[in-house]
Amino acid sequence: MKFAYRVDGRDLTLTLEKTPSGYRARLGDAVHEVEFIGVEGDQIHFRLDGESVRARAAAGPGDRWVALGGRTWRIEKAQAARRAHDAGAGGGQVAAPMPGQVRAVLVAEGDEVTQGQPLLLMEAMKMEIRIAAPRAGRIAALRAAEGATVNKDDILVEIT
Amino acid sequence: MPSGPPAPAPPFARLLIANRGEIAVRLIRACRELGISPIAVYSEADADAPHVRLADAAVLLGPPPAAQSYLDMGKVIAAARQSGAGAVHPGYGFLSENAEFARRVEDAGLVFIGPPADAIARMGDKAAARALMEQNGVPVVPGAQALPDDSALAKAARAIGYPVLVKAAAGGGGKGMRVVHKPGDLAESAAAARREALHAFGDDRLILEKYLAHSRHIEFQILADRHGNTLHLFERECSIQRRHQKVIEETPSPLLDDALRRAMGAAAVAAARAVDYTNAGTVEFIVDPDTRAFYFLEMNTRLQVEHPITEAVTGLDLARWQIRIAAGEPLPFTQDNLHQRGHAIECRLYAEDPASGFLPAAGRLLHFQPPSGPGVRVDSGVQTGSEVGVHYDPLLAKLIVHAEDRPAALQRMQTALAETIALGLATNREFLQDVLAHPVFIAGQAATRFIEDHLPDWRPQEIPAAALIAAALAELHASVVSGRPPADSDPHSPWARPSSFRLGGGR
Repeated sequence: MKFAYRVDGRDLTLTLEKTPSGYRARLGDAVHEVEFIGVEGDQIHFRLDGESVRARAAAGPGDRWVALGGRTWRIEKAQAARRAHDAGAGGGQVAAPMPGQVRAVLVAEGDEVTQGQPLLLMEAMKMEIRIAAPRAGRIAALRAAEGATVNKDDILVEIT
Repeated sequence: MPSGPPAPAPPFARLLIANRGEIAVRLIRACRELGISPIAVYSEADADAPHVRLADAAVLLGPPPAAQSYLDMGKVIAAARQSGAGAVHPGYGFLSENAEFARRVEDAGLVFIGPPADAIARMGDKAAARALMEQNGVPVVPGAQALPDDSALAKAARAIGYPVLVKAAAGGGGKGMRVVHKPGDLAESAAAARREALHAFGDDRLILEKYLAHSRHIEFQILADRHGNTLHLFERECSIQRRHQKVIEETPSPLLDDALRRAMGAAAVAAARAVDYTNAGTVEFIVDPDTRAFYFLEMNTRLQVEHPITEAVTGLDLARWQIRIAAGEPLPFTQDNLHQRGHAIECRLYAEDPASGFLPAAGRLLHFQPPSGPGVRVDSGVQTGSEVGVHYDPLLAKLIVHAEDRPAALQRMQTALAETIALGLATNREFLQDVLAHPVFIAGQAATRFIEDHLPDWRPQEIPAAALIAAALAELHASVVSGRPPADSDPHSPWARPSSFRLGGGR
């Protein structure tokens, strides 16, 4: 079985092959023997190369969160991550970097903009963030109005 | 059953808590201990929040935006009257430093749990407060107020010398604050600060201060009753900040010795007396570690987020004393009775991503398990399943530890952070762990620019194979339980069909 993940912007492929006692895990050049012990609530217990591992895991919409050894990782499924990436970084699309409120819209549809020109001001609680044009072009669509509440990754502006 | 002396009658039968989140929960507990019935308020976004369920009654204020709920004075006061409350506690943030609100609460025949409206107004105007402090012999940061336009601003900045700090005159909490390093950036930073200030406070006046890059932020807790007793409960060092907002606080400060502590404590008491302060408040100073000179920054006329570390080392319950002082009780102790015992640290666990500029995160908290154990206190307003929204501060919980000395407190906090599990949202937990493990922080030498200077490009640790394998096993297990193959596995693999394999080899 192949698991295509993305963690912190990096693509990682893990394979698990069935063995008599559990699985053989391959990650890059490394090979590990895995013996699954059980799942209890959000706790997953297994042996990795003979060492007992207890991790916490929870599934979100397109990702899985794992806490292990005092650290936490967000593990995106690569398909979901690619979709989100394509939606956000498709050249002229400008997405909200955080959830919050649109405080000011500084451009109008049809405007010519230069790279780095401020397009919008957003605010989330105590911070004002300036959203700048990723490249030069013309404003093809303005998807956010002043005062609108937006979620992270919502498309705010399209530049052609 | 043996019984002690009869409990004194509660000062109020019912008290309305005009806040949400962890501070509302903390104040509900203070009410319970005093025999007061706590009344909560909430917005539509908080209908299932812990503070709503813990209170005896809860009044819906309105839609999620704070302006239509927690910041709507008329609705809050109406809720207090409707629920029969005799007093209103504003918590921190929202209406807590709004003099008009304090006045309107009193005008409605209710007791405001905080300082007199006049003291809030006088300290709230940063420009007037600076002038008043100077008159009362409290040192202030070199700076300027009453700056009508950009040319006055530029002239004052030149006189003070760059870098300068542009601040909202009506400000607080880091809003409307900008560091400006060169004259060319002044106009744009001032415009942004004015916009933030106008939005947050309805007042776009600015003040300028000399920006002291390597200063330490050290504040003193004040407790003053209505009978002329004004005491300080020692310091809290809050130098670890991002975006001018605190993330780690500790007491005692590793910088202060007894002489400096006494001098700053006396200045803090003088600052409070200058505005006839009563109830709990905090006088903030910045300290130059080289010259050991200290300067008044501002007074926060409310309970601070970081008040629990003072409670830990002094043994006094600040929230309870706030209520008792407001009810007219005199403080039964003097300055000489107060001592700092051991060392306490607070870490603020935020839903935010330290790897991308500390941008706030929103979403569902899939799993939350706070730490526990000797000397560990958790003040939290969320639980597993809570939605963390965009409308309010993304503070999930405050972790507070108390131990015999600073090294022991650091170890205790590291253990508590490692034990904390928060899944489903980006949090700053790992970042906090890395700050506490940094040699400069361990040495007690971290200044307010610590994060920019020492952890500017912080990244999370690389994921170990064990964590990826845990994710894959969890996915497999979920697919077996649901009878569907794991979404991203190879659909042609025989192992992907639930009937064809048994997870764990039949165990």
